Amino acid sequence: MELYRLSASEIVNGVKTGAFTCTDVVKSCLGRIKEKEGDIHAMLYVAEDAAIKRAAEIDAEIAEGRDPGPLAGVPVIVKDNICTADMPTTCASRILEDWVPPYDATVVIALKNAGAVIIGKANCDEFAMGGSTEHSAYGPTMNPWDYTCVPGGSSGGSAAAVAAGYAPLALGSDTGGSIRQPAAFCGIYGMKPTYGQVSRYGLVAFASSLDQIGPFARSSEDMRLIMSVLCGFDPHDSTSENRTVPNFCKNDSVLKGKKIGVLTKLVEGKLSPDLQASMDAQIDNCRKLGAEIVEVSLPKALEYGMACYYILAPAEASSNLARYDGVRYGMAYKDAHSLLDLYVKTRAAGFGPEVKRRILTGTYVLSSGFYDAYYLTAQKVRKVIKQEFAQAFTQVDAILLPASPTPAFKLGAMSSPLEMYMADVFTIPVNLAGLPGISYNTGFNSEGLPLGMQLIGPRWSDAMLLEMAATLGKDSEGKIAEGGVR
Amino acid sequence: MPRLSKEEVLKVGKLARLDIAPEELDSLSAHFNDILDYFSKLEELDLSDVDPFTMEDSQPIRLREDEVVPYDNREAILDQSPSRDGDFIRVPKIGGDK
Amino acid sequence: MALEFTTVIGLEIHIQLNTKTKIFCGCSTDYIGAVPNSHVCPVCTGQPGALPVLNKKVVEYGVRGGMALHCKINKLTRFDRKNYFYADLPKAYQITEYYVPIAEGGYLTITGDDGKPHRIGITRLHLEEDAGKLVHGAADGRIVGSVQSFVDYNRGGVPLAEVVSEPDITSPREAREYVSAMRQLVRYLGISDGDMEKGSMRVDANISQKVSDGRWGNRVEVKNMNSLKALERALEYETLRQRDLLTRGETIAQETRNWDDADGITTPSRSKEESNDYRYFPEPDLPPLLLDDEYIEHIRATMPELPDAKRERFLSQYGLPYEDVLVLTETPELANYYESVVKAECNPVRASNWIRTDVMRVLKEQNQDITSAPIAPDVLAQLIRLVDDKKISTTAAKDVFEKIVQNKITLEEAIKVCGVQIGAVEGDKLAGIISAVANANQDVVEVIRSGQDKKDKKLKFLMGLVMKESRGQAKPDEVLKALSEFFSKN
Repeated sequence: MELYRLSASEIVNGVKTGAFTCTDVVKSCLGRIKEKEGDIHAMLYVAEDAAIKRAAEIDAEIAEGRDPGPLAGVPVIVKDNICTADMPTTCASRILEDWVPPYDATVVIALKNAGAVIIGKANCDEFAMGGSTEHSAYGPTMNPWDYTCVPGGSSGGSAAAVAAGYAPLALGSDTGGSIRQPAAFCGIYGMKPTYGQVSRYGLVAFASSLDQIGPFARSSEDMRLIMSVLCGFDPHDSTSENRTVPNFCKNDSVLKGKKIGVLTKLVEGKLSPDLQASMDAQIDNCRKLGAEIVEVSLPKALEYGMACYYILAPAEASSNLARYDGVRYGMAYKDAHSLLDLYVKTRAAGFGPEVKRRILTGTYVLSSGFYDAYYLTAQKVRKVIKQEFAQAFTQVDAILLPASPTPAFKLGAMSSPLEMYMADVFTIPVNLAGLPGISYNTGFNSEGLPLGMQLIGPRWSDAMLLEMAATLGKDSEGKIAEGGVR
Repeated sequence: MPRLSKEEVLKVGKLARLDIAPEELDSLSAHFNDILDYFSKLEELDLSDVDPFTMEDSQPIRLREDEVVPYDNREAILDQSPSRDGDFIRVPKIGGDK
Repeated sequence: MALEFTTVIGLEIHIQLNTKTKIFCGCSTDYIGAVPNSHVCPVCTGQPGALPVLNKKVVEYGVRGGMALHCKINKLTRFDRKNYFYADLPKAYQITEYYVPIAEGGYLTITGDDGKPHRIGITRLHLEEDAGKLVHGAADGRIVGSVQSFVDYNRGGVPLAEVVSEPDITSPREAREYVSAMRQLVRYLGISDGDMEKGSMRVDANISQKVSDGRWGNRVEVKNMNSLKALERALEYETLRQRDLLTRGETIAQETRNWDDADGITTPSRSKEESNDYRYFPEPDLPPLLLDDEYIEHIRATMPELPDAKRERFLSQYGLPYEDVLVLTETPELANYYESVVKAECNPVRASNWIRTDVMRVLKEQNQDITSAPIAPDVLAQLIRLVDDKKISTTAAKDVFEKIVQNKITLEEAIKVCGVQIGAVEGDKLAGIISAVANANQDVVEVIRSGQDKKDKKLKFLMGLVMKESRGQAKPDEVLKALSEFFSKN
């Protein structure tokens, strides 16, 4: 079997026992990228030379009898909105074209210290704003299972890369579903940790109170491995919480005696038939594994979460993106006759239409006279949604819900921004409440497109949630684990 | 729900330092009005008793010691500027725009 | 019917806190004279992905400032973003405390124009970050004629405490008093240098005029006053300008004006941006700041002695007149110096006199401050004791003092160099001096001996020489007596 099809844990094992070298693995992955990139376009940057060099260093360490770490020799791909000091970080935008950060994100340092080899940066929606990766300024990414479909977004490139076998692990970011939805669309695991679980230092901010970095993987064991490396307090991030890193260890009987919440009434009629069937099957599956199914109610989260999110996220984004002005980094309009001219022309040329829409919406809802009506109101609704979830979690241990109302849709299918926004209805409330959420594959539909389910837990239940997804996703894992798409 | 006139959209653009081209203005105005309509949903809720800023579910701010932590990559920061001028970063004329 | 006017002034003071590092990152705050952009990092240059982390000393200094101003300290506060675009603002927003300041509702007492103490209300004290510095390209360094400017982020992120007063100040003189008192307070607290010229204290004023016919002129904001004197002059000018307009029935434009120190006028400012819509919202990168009772009590218990308390104590403990106390407590360093001298066994009144006249004169001449004391406290005390014990005269002591401060020598060395006699010059010592003087002036002695000294002119001359040699340590009548003894013997 080609090395690129191996899981991260298999690579670590093989590299440490000398079955193969890290250089072998990296070369295999780089070869796979060359083979498939023409069709998929998941990568914005491939760090070929740097990766080979790093692989040689890892191999040398192992040869000397030293242990490079829990991810020794594993190739990892990083979403292009996460800072890498030796690789461009464009956020899939023209305004940061060719920008090389002067520092590494904390998670990147953690991966390097764990012995991983970062082989490149993945495509995404510009500044993580979108649900399909069609808003990348550098062209969309195709779903590896069906090139006419989107891989999801905004972390579409990362999800596609893992599903296509470019690397066993990838990092994405999730503000309103941007890891969970592409994971579901690409048939792999994708997790958004509890807000504050993983450092945001070095994640180019979109909506600071909602963003979290999280992993993609084809196997649950790989998810455990990388979550252990990513989670943890970072003194550079004031929103990261100082608590012990969860113990991510396998637990087959995690569902025994647990209560799983479902929202069958609330989602009735809202899902495509294949997802509806999948959800029903998963509910049965839960029961078989010893869980009790409890109907819970989250009416406000589902009804008002979208409006609340599309006020708060653009508001924070409008402020976070104000720094892109051609002065310190990135693109600058060349013939500016004044500072104001530099600002308005750089930003007009550097930002794509979706980013502009959100900046303008965000600016408006924060503007004088409207703060109470929009921003403050949305913050109150957010509180209500948090309380609704808290109430639900007094009755159940986790909630089962699809990540998206449909499987991967066709490129160009969404006719308006608002239509695209509506597709995030099941993921957004999770970010609003700061909860952990994970997507896992439940099979494929008749068109060969992956079907995925989402599990949501109370804050800090990341380890339990991962085990639930692992148990429920075990059967599908077989098909995906071997390097995904053929 | 109030709708935004094209002039008002341009004003928001000014506030965001974002030049809006005439060909973008129509679709932007339309989008604005769609989304503001959608926001009006929130008026259905009674939020009078809700305090959004209570702290039950998070830790308070953590403080840092007042000790210098030298940063060793100042050149990288300056080099990335499109308009580095020695130790400075140059900006064009400030003010005087109509 | 002559119109009467009342001036209404409110002041906003930005105080740079002298912590070692910036408010949200570990860069040094020691930016004066530093290479541009050398105290920078991803956080204070607003790099994508960088995040703020709050400096605990900044919080402490803010609480101390609030307490010293008799404010209520808010136990739960938040930071907010003030969003605007400008070349010196790397994130295009300033992190500040807008909605809930760390301290509010206090006062600062000054001496009013009527000579009585006045409490000037403090609306709030809040923490925020400073912006970078701009150097403008034009030859005169002004923004108006420049086609380009240069940004230095060294100052960006330096912590500031902004203190906003109620509009309780009623004259330019009171405004100056207020700022002076604030400066003294922050120096006493040790939280800032409070130096307007260096920029560690910046003052903006809001000034308007109430008219006796019921009108109230619009408020004008005045900026760019870089010293106490400039502050007073600017507000005096603005007062006259506004009253003049109102007298002629015109309205005051509500605007920002800059003080031009060279021309002595205020001129309308070119505003930084058309709209001042700052779109404040809570800073999502910083959780709320929670101060518990224990912390607040600890700060209270470790407050240094503040100016008014020190003044009260000096008055009762040392029995000095109020004007003298004001001088000695001008800075905490000077007050400490004074007390060190007194502690080294020196009469408090004498110490006060010497310090206020001689020591401070020398400091002025040498352009130093008391921290580089020209004479050590115990040495000064020793010198003063010699005068008190009548071991040397005051004039001799002044000579010795000069030698010590100019030549940086010890007391013993200075005494030797000056040829000062310790103790009264009398008996054998006096006789010795008379002999020496007589030997050096034999012709004069002859005149006296021969009885030709009409009206004792020559005797007085000799007496003058003897007194000079005695460095004032001899009593005049004793010298006369000794001289007559000398002449009777010889």
